[in-house]
Amino acid sequence: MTNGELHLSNLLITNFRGIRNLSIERLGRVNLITGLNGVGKTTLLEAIRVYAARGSFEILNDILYSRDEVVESIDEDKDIVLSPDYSSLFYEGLIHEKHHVSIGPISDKDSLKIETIDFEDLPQSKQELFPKLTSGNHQALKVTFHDAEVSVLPWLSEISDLSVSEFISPVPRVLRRLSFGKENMADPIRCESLGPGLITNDTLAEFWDKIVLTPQENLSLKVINLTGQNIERIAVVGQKFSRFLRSNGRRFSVKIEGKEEPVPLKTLGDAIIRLYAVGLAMAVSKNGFLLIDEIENGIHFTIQQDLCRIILEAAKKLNVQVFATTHSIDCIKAFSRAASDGEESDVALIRLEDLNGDLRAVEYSEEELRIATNQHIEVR
Amino acid sequence: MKNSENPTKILLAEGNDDQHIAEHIWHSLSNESQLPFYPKNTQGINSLLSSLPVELKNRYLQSLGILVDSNAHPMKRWNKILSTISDSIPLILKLDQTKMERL
Repeated sequence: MTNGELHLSNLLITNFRGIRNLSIERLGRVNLITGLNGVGKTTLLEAIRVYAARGSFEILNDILYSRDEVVESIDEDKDIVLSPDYSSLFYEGLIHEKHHVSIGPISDKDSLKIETIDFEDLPQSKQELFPKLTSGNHQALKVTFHDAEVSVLPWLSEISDLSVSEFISPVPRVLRRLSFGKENMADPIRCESLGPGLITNDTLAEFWDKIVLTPQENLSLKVINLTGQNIERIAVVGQKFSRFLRSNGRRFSVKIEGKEEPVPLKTLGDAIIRLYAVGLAMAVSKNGFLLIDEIENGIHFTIQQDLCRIILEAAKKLNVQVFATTHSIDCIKAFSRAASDGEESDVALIRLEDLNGDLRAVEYSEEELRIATNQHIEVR
Repeated sequence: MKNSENPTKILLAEGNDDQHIAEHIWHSLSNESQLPFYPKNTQGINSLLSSLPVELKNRYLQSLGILVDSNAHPMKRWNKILSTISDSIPLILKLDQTKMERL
């Protein structure tokens, strides 16, 4: 990808979780996603995360664990273990060839493909990489990116079912970890996510580690000072949390102009933490995707326009493609006005709607968003 | 309209006068003080035409009225409105040109 080009200029998602088929004809550099609760906004963000990671199991597992989509299995010590429920990745849990998951640009259908295969159908050489499965024809999850096989993982939920049988085939520990592949693996695109809730110190510290002493460090200061705090410096103090050390984990301290002693970041309020997180996340997403769920959370509307302006400028400068869900008309107007003030900001709004059980995208260009803002037209 | 925050029936009027005419006609015909539509003065034909496709994407919209000054070329204006609408929604009633000409 050449610098400045969008990672995704359009998007087609098929059979991924709650989305049977969703086509978005045009994406911008900053994309606002609206729609009713539960319509699929977060699923859209998850799809982008999976696409960026080229379907890595680490990300698939993280998504499933974070939503408690797990199945119980039993290991060789007869302890209950939780495994990700991979059927949740497929639309309505349907798992056969016709229903493979596909995520990617419209013109490049099946660039990322997630499907199930029978273990016995794998080439012998690959079957041998796994320890012999206990019995039956077990399924495996196969991910390919641009026809290059990325990896295959045994489908553990098929192996045991606690509610059905007392004679459960144990899941050997080694199997729970095994996957192979990564041949011709395409480089993943960097992708950072910010959830709707309060950001933990650990998340902030992870971001901070990546940008400290880089030119991007100033961006987070700029964002945090939108509230008029005059923060001069921010530092991480404390040690990583460890059960062996008396430690609260890593935490943030700020030096405010005119004050002798630093103060804990957390004493300045939730909005400041959220703003700092947005600034840091933007900075660490350089040349990648930034996904923000409910971007307006905790941020007063009077500073939203300045925040939007900084996000638009930074997205362009750092080559970040932003996807942000929102329910707030103030936030949408703030982006629209900030885009009108700037040059070539490239904002798009996508409203997801349920149409007779199918998801469809109603798309607004930056110009349409400007008209909607000026003429008070509802876009949510 | 009671819910002007999120109106479902909208009348787009080209100018201030057009908006007031519509309101006046309603009040002369009905005892209801509340307008059954939400009038919007778009301040000009160009902004009316440019806002039309955006209005049509409003998911809450049930009815849309358009009030414009026909000037000297009613057919031309009508066709412009029709083409603007048909560009933004795939399904549009094909109105008989001859009926329009008689109007």
